[in-house]
Amino acid sequence: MQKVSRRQFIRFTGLGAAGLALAACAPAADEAAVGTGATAEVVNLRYQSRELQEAEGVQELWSEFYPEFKANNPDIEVEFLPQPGGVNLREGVLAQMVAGDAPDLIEFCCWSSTFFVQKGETLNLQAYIDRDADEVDLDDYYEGQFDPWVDEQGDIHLMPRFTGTMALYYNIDMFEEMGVDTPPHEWGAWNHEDYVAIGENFVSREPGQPITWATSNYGMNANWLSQYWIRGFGANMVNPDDNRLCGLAEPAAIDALNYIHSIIWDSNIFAYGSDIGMGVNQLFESGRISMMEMGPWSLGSTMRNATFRWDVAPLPMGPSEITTHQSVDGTMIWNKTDHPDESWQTLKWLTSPFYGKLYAKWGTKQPSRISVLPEFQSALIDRDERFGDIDIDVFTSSIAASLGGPEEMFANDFTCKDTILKPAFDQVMLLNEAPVDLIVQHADIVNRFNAGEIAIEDLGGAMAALG
Amino acid sequence: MATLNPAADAGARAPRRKWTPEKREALFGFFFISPWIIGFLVFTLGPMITSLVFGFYRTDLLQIWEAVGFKWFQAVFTDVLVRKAMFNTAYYAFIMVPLSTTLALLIAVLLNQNVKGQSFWRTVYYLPSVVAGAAVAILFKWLYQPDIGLLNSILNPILFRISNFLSLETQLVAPRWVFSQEWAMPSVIIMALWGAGGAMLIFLAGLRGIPTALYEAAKIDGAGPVRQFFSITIPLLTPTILFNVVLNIIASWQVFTQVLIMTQGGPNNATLTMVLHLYNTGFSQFRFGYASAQAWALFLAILVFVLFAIRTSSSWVQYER
Repeated sequence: MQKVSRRQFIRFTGLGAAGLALAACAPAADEAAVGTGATAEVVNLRYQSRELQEAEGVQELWSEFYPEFKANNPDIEVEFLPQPGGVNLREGVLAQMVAGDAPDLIEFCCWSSTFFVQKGETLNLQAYIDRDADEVDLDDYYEGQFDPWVDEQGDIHLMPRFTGTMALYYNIDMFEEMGVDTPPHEWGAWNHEDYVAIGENFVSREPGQPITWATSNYGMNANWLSQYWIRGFGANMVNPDDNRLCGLAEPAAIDALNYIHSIIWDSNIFAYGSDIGMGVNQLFESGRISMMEMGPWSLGSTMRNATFRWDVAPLPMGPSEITTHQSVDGTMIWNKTDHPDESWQTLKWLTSPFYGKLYAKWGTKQPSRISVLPEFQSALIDRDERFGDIDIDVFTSSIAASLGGPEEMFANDFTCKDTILKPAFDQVMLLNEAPVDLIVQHADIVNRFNAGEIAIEDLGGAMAALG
Repeated sequence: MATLNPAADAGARAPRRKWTPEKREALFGFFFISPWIIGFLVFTLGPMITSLVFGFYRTDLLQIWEAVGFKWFQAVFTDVLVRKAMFNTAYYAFIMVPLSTTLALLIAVLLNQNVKGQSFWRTVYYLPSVVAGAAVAILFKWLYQPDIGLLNSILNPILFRISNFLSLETQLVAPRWVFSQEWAMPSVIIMALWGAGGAMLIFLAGLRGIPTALYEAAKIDGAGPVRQFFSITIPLLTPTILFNVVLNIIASWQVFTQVLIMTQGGPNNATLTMVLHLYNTGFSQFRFGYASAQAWALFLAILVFVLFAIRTSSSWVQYER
């Protein structure tokens, strides 16, 4: 056997490494073309999921959905990318966008979805929607469904993934134990004062005894959880006609803020700050609260974890309107995709009644399409027959009647909500160290910031000047 | 002698260049260290230079690229929020560095004694260091919950009895931890102390390196355990202390995960640290130019304190000769 000198070994190793590096840099061959030899026109798409609560269920969903999709769309291959967890989705997608390698279809929720529309990274879907109007059928969605996803021309940029209605979960055992009537099951049948009256039965803050509140949510701050209460009082956090303006200085909004403050600090029915303490689901499941304001995305986890009888009821009305929220969860097509037509074809399938029913079953998510809503409960029962005891109609009836609305988004949404308004909400609601008027003063800073009167680097100074 | 015929020259084999053993060793050294060098250039130095360039732009990295000169670098000195974040970070670092170093040293000294089950105790004390920061933060969120968290469930009954015993007019109550502007940052610090096991391990290695003969000689001279600790252990451990202090300074100024998960910088920005602030500026507001300038301000702050520690070390660090 021929001996190899050390010099030769290093030379060969170097050549090998260089070869590998060059091979890695070379464009990837079309897998489908390589695999079959006959389907060179097959298009490969990547689809980024944002399923947090039922990640395993969505894998099941995909295994049911994809063969059907593939049978009808043999020229499209879709790679399913599971939710990476936490805030990594937005960061990861941003990095991919900058690198020119973002997935073709991406799911987002809440302000992130609107943000990417504002940043011009979403494909304008309006032409596709107009072309396939019969299949898309915009009339099959509730009134405000697309509000967060339209551009200045009114063109739609995202399609809904599901639409979660905020309702009130309650612990039947605790209500029976206290001899309190359970909340009514019709929207508009009770109000914010009844809520306090019922809630006061459950509040216990005796020294030496376990503390119980009556209710909670993720944490009413400068976010959508306060917004539905403010709407119930007849006002808005974000001016509906101009998203640069904050509506919290309106008298009705101030009334709403005072109400929120009172249920936290006067009647003590509301366990505030669960977002920086124990989570609201844990509070409910451990019997620390008898009610929780929550969407249908918690149906699966509550069914799995609750050791008591429970049901859902509509949220109480405010003095002016019904208070609820319809979640903003949608799918965008990245506007730099190489395959916009195939991406749209896939998106149509992802918003089809077929997919909506599967998502209801495996993801316990409420369908966005009004036509599929009647099948929500049976889809859930398919998953777990105990859902037969839950009044799912509470969720679905609100969509059919177009109650509530989506999250209100500011221009510069994160800066307005998190940087400017949140410190004021903290001082007023969480710490009880300032009057509601402080939030109104911060609302004025939002207006001046969005009008360009205050620069980003001067925001801290403007807030500090309020004392 | 050189020939006039180039063809003849070309045919002659050039003398083989000899590699000296030193050169060969250096070559291999570079070869083996090359993965780190490549990693440093690509993942550290490259991004640093890139962020410096970003600092001269108003950019979201997507659509907006507008040159702004030194605007952001000037703004970090005047922005009240940056000042607040810098103050909070300094508060954390100035308490965390001495406290965690001292705690780690004390545990290491204790675990260096010949006690039964030494390995077991070492593992127990090191264990928190291997738990992911996010998991620790979530755990402490529950512990700190002021009304039903474990900590106040223990403290409040005790304080209630003390108040009664002392007949105090105002009843003593436990802090509201992360639900309080005053206690939020101390809460984060207490939580971070839970992970002192990493520094402890380094101290243990340092303690093992101190010759036992020195202790025996000191004992013969009549030195007690306290005198031995301050005259032998501490002086000979100063290089390890310096190492741990430098690592701690860097880690403390970069505190991020704990506050992101536990408080998101609140309440009322009481735990807004520099990394969290620049993360918000960059990844939530998509103002990457300004975030880059903030990152450089943080880098300079860390550099100043690390250099200060190293420059002053000649007066207190003792190296064995």
